[in-house]
Amino acid sequence: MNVLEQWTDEQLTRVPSGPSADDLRRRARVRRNRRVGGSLAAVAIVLAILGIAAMLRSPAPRHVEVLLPAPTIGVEPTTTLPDAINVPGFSNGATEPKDKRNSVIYDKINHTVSGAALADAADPKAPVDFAEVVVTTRHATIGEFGDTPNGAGDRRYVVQVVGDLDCRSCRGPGNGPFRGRVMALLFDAAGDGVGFTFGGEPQDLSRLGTVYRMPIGLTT
Amino acid sequence: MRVVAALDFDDWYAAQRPRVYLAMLALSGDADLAADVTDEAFTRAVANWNRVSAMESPGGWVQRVALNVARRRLRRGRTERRLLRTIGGPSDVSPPTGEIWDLVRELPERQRVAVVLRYVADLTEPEIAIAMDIARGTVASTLAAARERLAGVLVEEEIEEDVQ
Repeated sequence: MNVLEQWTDEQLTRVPSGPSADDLRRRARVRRNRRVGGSLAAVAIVLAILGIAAMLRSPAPRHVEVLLPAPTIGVEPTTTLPDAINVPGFSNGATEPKDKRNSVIYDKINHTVSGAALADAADPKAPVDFAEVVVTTRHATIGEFGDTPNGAGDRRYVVQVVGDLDCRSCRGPGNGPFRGRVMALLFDAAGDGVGFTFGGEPQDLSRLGTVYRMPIGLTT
Repeated sequence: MRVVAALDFDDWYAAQRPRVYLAMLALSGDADLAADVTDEAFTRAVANWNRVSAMESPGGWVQRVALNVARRRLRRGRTERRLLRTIGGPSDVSPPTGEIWDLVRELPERQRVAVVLRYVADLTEPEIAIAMDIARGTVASTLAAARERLAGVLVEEEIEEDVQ
């Protein structure tokens, strides 16, 4: 036994007791009730219906590009976001490789995010302060963003949307429509949603990689 | 049938918590932060217990979650102390001090984390690979490099023990 193991053995008996297993279960239950986790499928279906309805009402595509600076509330910026002109840009990015596969995936992600963030916006003002995206790995997102075990590949895209969000098709606290400031969506390597969370504080995504501003609704 | 799949959460939690806590304490030097991230990691474990218990290494998983949470909170520069502890008073455990820990703190981050996971969290090399999201071979070489830098102190202690 070396000195590190010796220290550990001595300290093991002095570790303060933590919450009981039942306390943790209660905490997890409360959190589950507050947060919508799991598959995006049900919301995606509703959003698709809303999207079709919106298209029937107005043939003009709704393009919203948010170039406002990120709010400082709850966020200590640790990364300088690239200028809008340098963002990946969903099909015309300067950073991401301009291959067909990436374009399709980004468009797919953008479509889902735009639907979730904008489909129910009753307010004519853009409800989104900013949206940002980071490309990371499956391992880095384990246990976060309502991740589910299924999903293609090891690559994961995390999109965080901050604004006065009002998603009437979503299930928020008390199973009612979600109104809040923050929505995080997790996508697999194929661009399919594999998890999402609502509420809480905006997260510093720079811990997962380089963060880029996402111009919501801009697809080619 | 894998043994871990037969364990219920309560037993696993009771067995794993002290070492996860000590590993986080050794890495952060902050008892409150260590308790907080430990509780957070196990809360996520119980929330996903069906999936976690079927994993190759639930211990590696929970250490990885704790490391991720700790890194994020340390990077933010502030500790969100939302302690769930309803039992027990102030911690009797102090952040590790002494020559050996000074040397450990001087190690590069990857070596420091690997050493703590190996000797404090008592994880095997495959489990450390899962916890750190690196290849098993990299774990072995990282630990070897760390041992080389700590060799003087570690060997000395081991010799003393042998003499006893």
